[in-house]
Amino acid sequence: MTRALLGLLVVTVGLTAAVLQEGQPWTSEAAVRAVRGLCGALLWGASATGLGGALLARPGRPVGAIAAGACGLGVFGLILLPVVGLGLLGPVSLGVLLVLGLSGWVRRPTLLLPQTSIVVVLLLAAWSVPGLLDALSPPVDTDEVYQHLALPRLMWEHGGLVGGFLQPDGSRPLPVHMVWTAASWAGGEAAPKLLHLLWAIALALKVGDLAQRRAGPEAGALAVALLLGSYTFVRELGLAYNNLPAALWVLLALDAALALEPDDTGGLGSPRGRLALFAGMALACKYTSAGAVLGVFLVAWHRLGWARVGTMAVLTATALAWVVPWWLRNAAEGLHPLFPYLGWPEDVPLTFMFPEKYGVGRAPLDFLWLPWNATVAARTDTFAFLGRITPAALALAPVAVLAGFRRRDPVLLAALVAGAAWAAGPHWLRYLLPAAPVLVVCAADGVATLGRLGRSGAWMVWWLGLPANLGPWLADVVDRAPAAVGAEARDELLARRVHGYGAVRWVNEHTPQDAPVALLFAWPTLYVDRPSLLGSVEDHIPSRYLMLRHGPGALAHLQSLGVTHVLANRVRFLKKAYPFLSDEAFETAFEAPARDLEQALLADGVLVYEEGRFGVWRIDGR
Amino acid sequence: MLRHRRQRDHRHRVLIGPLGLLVAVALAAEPAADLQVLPLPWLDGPCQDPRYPRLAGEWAVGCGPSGRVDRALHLATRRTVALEGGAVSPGVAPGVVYAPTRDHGLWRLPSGETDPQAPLVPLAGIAPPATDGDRVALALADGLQLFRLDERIRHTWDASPAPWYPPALDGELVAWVTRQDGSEDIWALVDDQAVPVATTAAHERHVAVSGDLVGWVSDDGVHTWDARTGARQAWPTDAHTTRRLSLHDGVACWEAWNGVDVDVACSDGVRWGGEGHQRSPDRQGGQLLVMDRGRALLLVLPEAPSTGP
Repeated sequence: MTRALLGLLVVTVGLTAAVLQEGQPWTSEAAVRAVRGLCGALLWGASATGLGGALLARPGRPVGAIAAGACGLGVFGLILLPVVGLGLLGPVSLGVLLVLGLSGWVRRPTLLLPQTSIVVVLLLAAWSVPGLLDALSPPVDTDEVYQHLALPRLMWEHGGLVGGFLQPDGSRPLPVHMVWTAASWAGGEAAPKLLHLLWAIALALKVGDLAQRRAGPEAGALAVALLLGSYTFVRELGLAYNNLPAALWVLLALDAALALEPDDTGGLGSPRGRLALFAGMALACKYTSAGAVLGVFLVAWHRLGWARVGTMAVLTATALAWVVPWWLRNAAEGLHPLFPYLGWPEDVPLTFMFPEKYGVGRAPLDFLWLPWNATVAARTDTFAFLGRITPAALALAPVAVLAGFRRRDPVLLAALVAGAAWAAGPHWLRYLLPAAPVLVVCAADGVATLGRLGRSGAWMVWWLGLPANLGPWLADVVDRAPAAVGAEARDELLARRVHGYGAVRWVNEHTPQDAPVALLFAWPTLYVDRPSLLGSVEDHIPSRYLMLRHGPGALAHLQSLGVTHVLANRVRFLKKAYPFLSDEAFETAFEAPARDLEQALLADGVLVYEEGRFGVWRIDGR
Repeated sequence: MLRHRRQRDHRHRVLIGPLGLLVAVALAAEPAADLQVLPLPWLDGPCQDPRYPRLAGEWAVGCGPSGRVDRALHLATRRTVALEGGAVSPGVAPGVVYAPTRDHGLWRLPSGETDPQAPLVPLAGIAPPATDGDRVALALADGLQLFRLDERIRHTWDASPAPWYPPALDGELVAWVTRQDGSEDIWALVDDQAVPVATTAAHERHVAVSGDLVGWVSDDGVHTWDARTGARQAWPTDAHTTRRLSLHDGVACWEAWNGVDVDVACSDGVRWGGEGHQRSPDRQGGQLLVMDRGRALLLVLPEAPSTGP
């Protein structure tokens, strides 16, 4: 343990030195931005904790602090649906919510801090340095730029919800994006990212807490290390995503399930109440948490007794009640409840996602080798899992399975179900994140059965995997750190890291203020200071839908919506990325829409600006 | 004038001027021995800036796999030169390639090494520079900067050049595109005075300069203006796809939309078309460089009567 502590101290110093820019002190603007963002994040965190603490309180019993905060954030995410849907988004409504949450502290809930160890604290302290710089740098991540931070901007701009075929991302369940919208009001651009960082730290602490309570301090430390030693996890620390929030809700649901007793009487703060609450919040946040939630429910069923079918049905219905409002919203707008994943018109040959595109194969043998391939063959920059996890997870998997079988541990069942659910879907490692807490708690349980040599071996494998897992993340953070502290101008960073930023800047400077701009095969919705349509998701779904639906009349259709300018990317789809599609299917679904757009712009548009593959076209009648 | 259609035997014919029909008949039974169509595969590399490749006097400059303008080809001897480092959007003049800012370099062909004395302009240009080999015009966010390649002194004119559209320069005559109230206009520096050349409500853009002539593309066609005599000339055409106007020795060339695809047309009646898009013309006398369906072709034209002013 002493050697591990010393090693962690070295890592802490090394990480700090690696990311901090010597001789580049913070500028006043950067400091103000950081303080404002942190205040906004902490304010909403405190309000959520107050609300959650009041809701979960039971006489004479403490409430977990992390559970209270997560509960409050989930409730905010649901309350904001009708608020934003009715066009009431604004300082008044958000101020009321903020005060409502803070008033929960009046009840003086007794909050229980998570159990932790010095190792976990050091790990989180070290990893928080690059995480903080990541969160404070201007957003350049593709998913933030087209969805996670773009949707809040669009909602502010519209004064309400966005969605439908012209904004499909807006038709997903968006509880976390509602929270980001609120956070950005209080703390500016950095607040959602900082709040996410706090959320991720809370997740890690809770993982350590649960693992430690089950199998001791070293198990708790290793469980946290398994997360922090995986690229797929750490790269999201400072990003305003929704995978880690879903993971925390899944973990809290598991914690509740493990605390269930057959004679549990219910109530929101009881294990039964918390199970349904947090499972529902996880499902509403991310459909990819469904497998993990199913596994957690099996744990609960096991705890209650397999005969308690009715109880489980009620719990399931209660959990689904958190998702149903989003389905009803879609239905009210004439969309499939699960749009944009399903419900595209039949005359438009559009598939939202191809599972075959990800991973290294879906033959029966590939599934058998999946744990190995997902660890050894994973690449962070290709569709071969698009991520990376620590090899220590693979090394501990057999130990965890064996130990779980011996103890007949229901957590093993939950882990296997969650893993199988992920394997059935696209083999993208970040889709495994909502289930990650279940998996690492299971792995940590197995560690407790190892002797000293085995535990040292597990740590050794973890250390060996660090360069490959942390290297790509740290390199990216170091590249953006100067912008975080104000040493690099924001525009300079965006110009070199956001594809099409030059074209976006032209649009912001030269197009009419209130005329919508259509983004075709282009991602940077966040930075377009105009009403915007389409943008992108997955394989440029919105633009392909527009071209497949309207054909040569696509630009005329955009003009009818008031669009005067189009920002288009000369995209080239590569057949080798879709080997599972026939040439004809690939041509129809991918090449034809891109080619038809190029032809339509040549025929009816006037090119007014171009930078690389991105061009701005005027389509107001030439 | 007649529009070219590619023959099934893949021979290409260029039809010229009002005598086009007679010429077509005369050539129909004969190989086009007076026209040379020279593929330049070494310049086929798609450029990050589609306004390249370009003619540079005896040379043609274009892009390799990097997408940067990093190679030159001597048209007579086919000698190739790699330009050290290259640039995305340099200024091009006979035998000279120059990038003043981020992709800093000055290449004086046939040397592929950049001149260490090349002027470096710290301020980022908002469009590719214009150069005639001696002088440079650079559009900045708040003005137009003029300087000689062999001097350190730079003169800045109070102007509002529009981004992306390069200024144009030939000797003392400089012209540039401005943008105001949603439309583009043409201005020129004549005898050290900034004068409006085309400032209608139409979108006047893609300015070019050759000798005393200023040319540009407008919504209704291609126009020229003689800075000395004030004479104006216009060619009604649909040039809306044009990314750059070529103007040399009084002959302008542009991209012409034929209702189906893009052809190349010139003010002296030369036209190059066919299946697919023919784009990015650059004309110097009897040589016309085009991108024909993504392939660089050099057309060496037979002598033709000029229809320029």
